[in-house]
Amino acid sequence: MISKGNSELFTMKNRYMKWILFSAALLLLLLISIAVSLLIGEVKISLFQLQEILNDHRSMAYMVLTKIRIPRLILAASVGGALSLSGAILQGIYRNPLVEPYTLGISGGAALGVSIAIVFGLNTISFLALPVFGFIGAIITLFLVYFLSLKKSGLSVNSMLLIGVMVSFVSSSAMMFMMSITTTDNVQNIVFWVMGSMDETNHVLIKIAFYSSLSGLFLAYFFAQPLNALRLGDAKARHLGINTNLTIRILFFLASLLTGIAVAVAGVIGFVGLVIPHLIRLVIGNDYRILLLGSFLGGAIFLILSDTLARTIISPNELPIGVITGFAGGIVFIAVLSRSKSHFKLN
Amino acid sequence: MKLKGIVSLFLLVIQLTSLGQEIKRVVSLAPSITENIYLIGAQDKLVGCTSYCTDAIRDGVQQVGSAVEINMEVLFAQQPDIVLAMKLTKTQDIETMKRLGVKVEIMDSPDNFDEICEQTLHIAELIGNKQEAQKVVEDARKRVEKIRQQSKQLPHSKIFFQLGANPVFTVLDHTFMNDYITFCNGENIATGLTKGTITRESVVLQNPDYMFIATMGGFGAEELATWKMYTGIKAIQNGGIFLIDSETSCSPTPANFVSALEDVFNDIKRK
Repeated sequence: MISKGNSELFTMKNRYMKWILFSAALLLLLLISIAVSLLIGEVKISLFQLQEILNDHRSMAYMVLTKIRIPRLILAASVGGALSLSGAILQGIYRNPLVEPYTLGISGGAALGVSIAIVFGLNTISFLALPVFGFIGAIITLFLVYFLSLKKSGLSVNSMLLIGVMVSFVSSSAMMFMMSITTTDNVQNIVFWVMGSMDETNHVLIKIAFYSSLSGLFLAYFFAQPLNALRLGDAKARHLGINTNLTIRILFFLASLLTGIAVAVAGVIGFVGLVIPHLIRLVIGNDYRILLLGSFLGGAIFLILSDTLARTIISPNELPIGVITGFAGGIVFIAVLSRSKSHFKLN
Repeated sequence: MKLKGIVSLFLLVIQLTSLGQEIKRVVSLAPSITENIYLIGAQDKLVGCTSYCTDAIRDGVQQVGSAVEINMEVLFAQQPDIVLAMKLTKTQDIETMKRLGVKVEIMDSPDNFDEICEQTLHIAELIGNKQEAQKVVEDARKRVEKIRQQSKQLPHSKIFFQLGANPVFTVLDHTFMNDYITFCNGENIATGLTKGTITRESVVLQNPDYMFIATMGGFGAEELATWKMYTGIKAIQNGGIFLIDSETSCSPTPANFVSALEDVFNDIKRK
């Protein structure tokens, strides 16, 4: 007969094994999506030619690979990972399955910042002007939501959510105002920026996106257990010794910064932060020790494949990546949800 | 019901009585139309323009709309004899103007240089100054023909003409801007495409001899720097990449067309 202690140990081992297998499967999928993204496109590149191409710095294939596909791949993985991770964290701290990185007005703030930069011609000063203004817009929104939600008793999670939604509406109206007083060229530039794109070739921006998303994942892991405790509710988490106020504040800033950087570099790309964490939850459960990594990898895979589709599906024309993430994310989400017998639970 | 009938009849009478009258008050809802009006010397008739008709605004003409909205009250207050608009103007706005009894002329975006000239002549037919318009068009045609003749000496080349960034947006072969390319003995790398968004990879693969990047409100300079990283493209290797003014090249009037065409021709000729 197996004792109770041995049974728990067996269940735990079983769970860890499941997590390891799940992570390995995601890593394998990531590798496959990287290969697909690098090899598919207008210029035909075979896996067996890869070494030869990388040695021939003058070839067309080398230029396409190093100057177009690899930068896009890194950016897509970083932005996808960051948005999905941010979604998983925010759904955890708000205990609301419909929260996503853009609900809190971060994207609205970033879009407003970029609109101001375009309307006042600041984008002519430096190529960094748009991402910088996008990031400033996101940060201002972040602090606005944070300070307006502060109450005597501490931070109100519900107020944060409502204020975030309202700030998002105000930003959107302000952006429409900017668009109504400017030239058609600027309107077109704002619209295209808002649609989102992985067509960023600046190495500095790509590195910022890459390192910040990895750092975000690393930092988030310090809060995996507090996030698990928060699933039980604020009061129960406090009883378990979690400083909920501090945890929520830090995680709110972390998720917002990740979103702010992603939006500033790649524009507004919807659905990743909402759909991917939920799909991961459906497969592996709600434990944040695996959910954080799963969401990050899942987001990276999803955006790499979406970007590959965006630049190949109607080639040589290119589709805005938001069209792909919206369609693919929405349809897969509905299909999985309708086949799943269990309802969504965050605890 | 009766009242509605009377109002409709009243508006119809106004419209009928206004037919054949000399046009004295014109509202333009597109910068290219405004530029055409200036070109044929009929600017004294202009009583309303959009917020991006810079010359007209400088001359104190009333703004009646922006890039996205028309203020119908301001427009109506100008008591225009005719409103000249492009097809991009919202259908609701056109219907409202018609309901208010305002004569509206909707124009197509010209697809080539000939249509640009025809549009200028058509505007003159509607608002007057026909002789001036004839002169403008003849002068433009002569200058264009001269460049076409000179271009026969240029080697045939593949040309990429970029209009937008993120995603990259190119000039298509059924637009008037394609004439900048073909009139300079060039071939548009986007020939056959039906949509303007084009992947960078496709541009690299086409390996154009010349690249023209519209300034696009400041984005052009950034795009120019980006393209210069693709050192394998012939245009980059030979210094055949140029910025071209968006306001001139994208606004279809005979004068703008000739000016942009001369810029393209001179850039190619210098290389």
